[in-house]
Amino acid sequence: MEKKNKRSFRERVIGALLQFFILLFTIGTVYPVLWVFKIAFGSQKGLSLSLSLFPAQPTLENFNHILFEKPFFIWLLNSLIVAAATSVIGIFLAATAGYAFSRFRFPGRTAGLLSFLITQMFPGTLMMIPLYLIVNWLGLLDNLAGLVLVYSTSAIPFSIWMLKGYFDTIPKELEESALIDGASRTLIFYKIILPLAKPALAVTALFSFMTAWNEYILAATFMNRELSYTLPVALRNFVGQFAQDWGLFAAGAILVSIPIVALFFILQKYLVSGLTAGSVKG
Amino acid sequence: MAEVVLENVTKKFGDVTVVKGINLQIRDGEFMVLVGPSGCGKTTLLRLVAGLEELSEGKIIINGRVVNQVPPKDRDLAMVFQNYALYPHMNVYDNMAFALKMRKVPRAEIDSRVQEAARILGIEKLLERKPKQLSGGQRQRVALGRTIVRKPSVFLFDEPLSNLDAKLRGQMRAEISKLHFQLKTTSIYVTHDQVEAMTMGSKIAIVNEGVIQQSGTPMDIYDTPVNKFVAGFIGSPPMNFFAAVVQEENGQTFMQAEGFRLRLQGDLANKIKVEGLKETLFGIRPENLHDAEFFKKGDGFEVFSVQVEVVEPMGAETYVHAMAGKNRFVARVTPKTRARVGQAMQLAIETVKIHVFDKQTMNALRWEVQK
Amino acid sequence: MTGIRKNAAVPIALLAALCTVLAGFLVLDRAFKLDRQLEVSRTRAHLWLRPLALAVESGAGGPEQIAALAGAVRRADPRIGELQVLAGTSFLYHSDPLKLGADVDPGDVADKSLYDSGVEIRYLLKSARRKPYLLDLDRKAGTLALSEPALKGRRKSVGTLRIDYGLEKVRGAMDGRIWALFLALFLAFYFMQGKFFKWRWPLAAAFLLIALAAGSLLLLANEGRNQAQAGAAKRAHLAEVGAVLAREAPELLPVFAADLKGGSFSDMLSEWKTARFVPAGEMEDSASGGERVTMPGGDAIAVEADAAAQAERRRQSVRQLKVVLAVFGLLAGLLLFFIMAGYALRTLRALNKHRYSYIMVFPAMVGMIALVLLPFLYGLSMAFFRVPPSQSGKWVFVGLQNFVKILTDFHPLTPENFYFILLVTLMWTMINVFLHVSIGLTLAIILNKPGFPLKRVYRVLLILPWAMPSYITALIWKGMFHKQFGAINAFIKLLGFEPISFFNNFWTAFFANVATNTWLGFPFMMVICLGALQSIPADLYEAAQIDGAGKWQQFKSITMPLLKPALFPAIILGTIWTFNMFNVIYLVSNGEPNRSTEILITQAYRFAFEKFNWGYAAAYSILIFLILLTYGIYTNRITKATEGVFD
Repeated sequence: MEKKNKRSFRERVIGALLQFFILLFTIGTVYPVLWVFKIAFGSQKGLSLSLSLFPAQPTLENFNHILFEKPFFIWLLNSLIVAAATSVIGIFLAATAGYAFSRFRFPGRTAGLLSFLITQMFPGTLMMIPLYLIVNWLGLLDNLAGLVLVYSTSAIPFSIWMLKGYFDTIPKELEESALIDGASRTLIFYKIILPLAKPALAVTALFSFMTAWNEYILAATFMNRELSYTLPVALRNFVGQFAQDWGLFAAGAILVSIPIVALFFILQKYLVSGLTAGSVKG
Repeated sequence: MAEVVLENVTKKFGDVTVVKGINLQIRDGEFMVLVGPSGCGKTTLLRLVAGLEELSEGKIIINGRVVNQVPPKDRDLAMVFQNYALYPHMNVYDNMAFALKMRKVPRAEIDSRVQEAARILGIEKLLERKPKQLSGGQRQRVALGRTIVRKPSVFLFDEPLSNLDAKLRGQMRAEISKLHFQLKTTSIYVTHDQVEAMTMGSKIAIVNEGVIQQSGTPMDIYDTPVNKFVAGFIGSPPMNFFAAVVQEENGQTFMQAEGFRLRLQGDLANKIKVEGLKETLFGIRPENLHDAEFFKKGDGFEVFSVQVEVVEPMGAETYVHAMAGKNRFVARVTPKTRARVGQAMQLAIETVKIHVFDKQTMNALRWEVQK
Repeated sequence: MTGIRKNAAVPIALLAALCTVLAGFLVLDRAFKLDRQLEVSRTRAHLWLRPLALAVESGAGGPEQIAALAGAVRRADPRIGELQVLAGTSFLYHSDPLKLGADVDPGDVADKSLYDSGVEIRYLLKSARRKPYLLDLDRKAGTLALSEPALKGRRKSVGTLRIDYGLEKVRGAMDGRIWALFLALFLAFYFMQGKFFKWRWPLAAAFLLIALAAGSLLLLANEGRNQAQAGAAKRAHLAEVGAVLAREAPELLPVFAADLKGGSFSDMLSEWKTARFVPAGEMEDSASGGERVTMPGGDAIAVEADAAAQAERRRQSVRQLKVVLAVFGLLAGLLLFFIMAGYALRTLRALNKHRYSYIMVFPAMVGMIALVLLPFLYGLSMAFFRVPPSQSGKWVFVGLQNFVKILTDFHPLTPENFYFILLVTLMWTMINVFLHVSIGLTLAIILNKPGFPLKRVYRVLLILPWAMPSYITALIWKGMFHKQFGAINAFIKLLGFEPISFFNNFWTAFFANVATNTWLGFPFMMVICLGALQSIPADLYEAAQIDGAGKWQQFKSITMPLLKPALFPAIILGTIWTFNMFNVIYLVSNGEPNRSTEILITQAYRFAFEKFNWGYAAAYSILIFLILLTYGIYTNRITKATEGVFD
């Protein structure tokens, strides 16, 4: 009796300690995000060394400035177009290829899969100059299409691996049954496989979208006119070499992050299953 | 309605030959059960018929047409898969209607056919549900329903009952048999369960190592297995086997096994002499061993003594596991038996029911039972 | 059935090879034709312009006579389109009468085409070309435009002439005999192969060689004949020009004849080594070989063919033939060989059998090849050159020099040293991955405890850093480490210390980078671990408990082994990502202080975009790639992380 009591007491202490630890860690994790809010709602002059999360002189001046005195909505539109187009094109290319890699045994399959893995090791700096030249040759500098082209192909290997992993988990009998039922390969792909792979498609689309929404270096290299900037390039310039406008940056960061974070959390229930079934299948 | 003929059907996966030159004829309206241990090639054979695998050699003829190059959808057959392969994102109705939609059947006809199939299977109330919301037996019914709405000329079943529990399995077994009786569609049914084979098949083909060992009606196979594999595979509890040596004494033929010896008579004795068999293996089914105490002794019976190891009363009968010498065997005796573990008992063996196999080839010796 | 296919394979292979050779011959034939067409047409145009130019040079007879001569010339040959004779800056003759007499000073010309030609001519005048000049060649329209200077002495330009001339039709070197030869060879083979079945492949090869040799000889012979005909055509044209001259300006004939062998025009008239005017009464002196072209008045021009030039022209034909034979002959041979080895058939069969797969993979593959593989190869090749940072500049091949430079710079540990940066990069990668995995795993285990309060809330909050765009995260942390208003310094001040300039010291700057990247990276590992933990069946732990295993033992013998399959690929991926984590370094410390916190990838970026040393940066990047590739292969072999993925 006594022993049992003692043990549960010990467990309760451990539980409380763990709770405390997690709480502390979570505060540490969330703090930088809240700190951005403080900077965003404070005035430039009010910046001071303080741990407090409330700005000394709360103001909407930063938001006002970025929304109405900068071409924020054009940047937003640029980013949206690029990210949406990237995920649509990326998904289309990756889904068809991923399906073939998952279902068919054809000469070159292993080589193809391996080469996709290897491309993940290509250093970005090596690709940047040739990509710049290609995009320039296509006449797509300062053009959103150039970015879409580059982003969607760079997202393909990861997407293909994810989707292939997920397609692998869909029982083959479903397709065989449909084959006997009289469906063509193409129809099976659209009517059976794609609907079943929705979670994986969602995750893959999210990743492609995030890749495009968050990419900074290539966008900064390809886009030279202020009106063709995407949001990352624009935001970066607030705290770049020639400016130190932290308030403006913080306001922009909040505006940029909210949609992507929201999207992330909406789709996060698929995230674990998609990831564990896909890229890191045991 | 159709006849399916397999001619020298062979399938190789790389260097491994899984199906080795199978010849088989399945007549119109027949319910053919392919039975064999797992990995014997029976499922591959079924998939070859369905067109899901490509033949390495041979011909498959359905209704007089060689279908080697015909894609699955044009072979006019339907298949029930082991895991049912119901489309998870469609409800039961859509699952059943899918094949008909693919074939551009008019909407009204699809509806009437699905309703009819649902009525036959008793799943009218489930039509709106998704497969996830169904029990195992219900899914099984939907899978069946999906095939019968097609009205194909051949049904293929790939171990459809193996995912069900024992009680449901018995029930579905009867239901599939009933269905076949109603529809009279040529069917090929693959299973590893010899009970299913015996109870459902109008014909059975026993497959082992890619070869058909024997085919025929269930009772034919049960009574006259052609080799040791078939004899041991069909029947539960399985047949008992003993190694024995043929001996001649005073013009009479005996089979000497460890622990007992049998006197052979009539045609069997002649055949053994003609074949010149010395070393044999003989088998006797458990139901042909009786408790000597409750059995009228007479001609055609030999009595010998055994040591009882386990007694399993089943109610209507009792299984006695016993040893004679080093031979271990099972007898299916009357529940009135007084066999006790550890004690000796007398067993009567029906000598006309024994099966004799050549020890080298394991093939059965054919002989006439004297009336 | 297969026997028939095999029988058909050889003739098909030979047919394909013969067609390839024929394609090569057609290419060659076209090249021959175009060369000859240009030469003949240009010579004819030139011969028309030449007397006019001579007239302008000598000024004989005044402008009217020159114009009359030009008009006669134009009427004499329907191929002449536009004809302009310009003396000084005004036209003496223009085939378009409206433009006659117009000044070609571009300043006051309203007509666009006139303006253009004016500009062109003025340019020619100014640049004082001393030779006939092909202004324009339009094969589609079948015209050329030639300009010819009129010179005083050898230097001073006194005028310019221009002619638009229709191109001659010329005969090709390919003729029925060659087609027939190939057809005959193929048919002969087709009927012979049955008899020599065993030797059908060598036989096919022999037939291919015969076709190549015989076809080449025929082609050359035809071309030789055609060139001889072209020579005759030129002489005939000379007679035509002479006739016009004899009629309109006979006094020009001797000058014209003497001019024909003029050295400066040798590229036009290499046909003739000597040319001489022979007046009507004079008898031909039998000593000089050559041909006599007689005019209507009885005067004649004696010309002697230039054997050396003809030989050179033949040699040129042979050279062209050699190139074609090398390319197409090789192609045909390879084709034959490949089909012979059954490759073509097998490849085609595989392609056809798996066409559905290939169609599905095709779009992604094209994208990858165009925008990943090609740039990679381009970058790869750049590493072996000194590349100027513009597209027009010339690449200079330097071999392995870039690599040698990078790898042999043993300068004591300065940030410019590759090995120093490699060391920093390795340290950076290992510390980060260790922190990611240990933090992620710890959190996952705690959050996976059954009944842990608020675990859904915690989980959502803890993956927040993953959801945030990484460049924003990096910049936020840069702000957090800011000396004047950063939260970190506020905390330090709270503890009673002086605020730190984080980016003035290697270790503090490195710490800032690591802190940022840790914050950025642990949620990924946490999610992976959570997913893997949830997939471990609970009854394993129950069984272990019954077996008497403690918490630690359960972790060691159940959790870890079952986590491995999910965790290892994640770690490998995480390592590669961290190794190339450009954003954090570039945006947080930016290499401060003094480039010491750079990692390889940011350093490569600086070489490319700050020092504009593209070749060097490419070599640097290749080294990064090789390191990662080695790591990938090595880990793959050890963990077999991708095992089973290829099934």
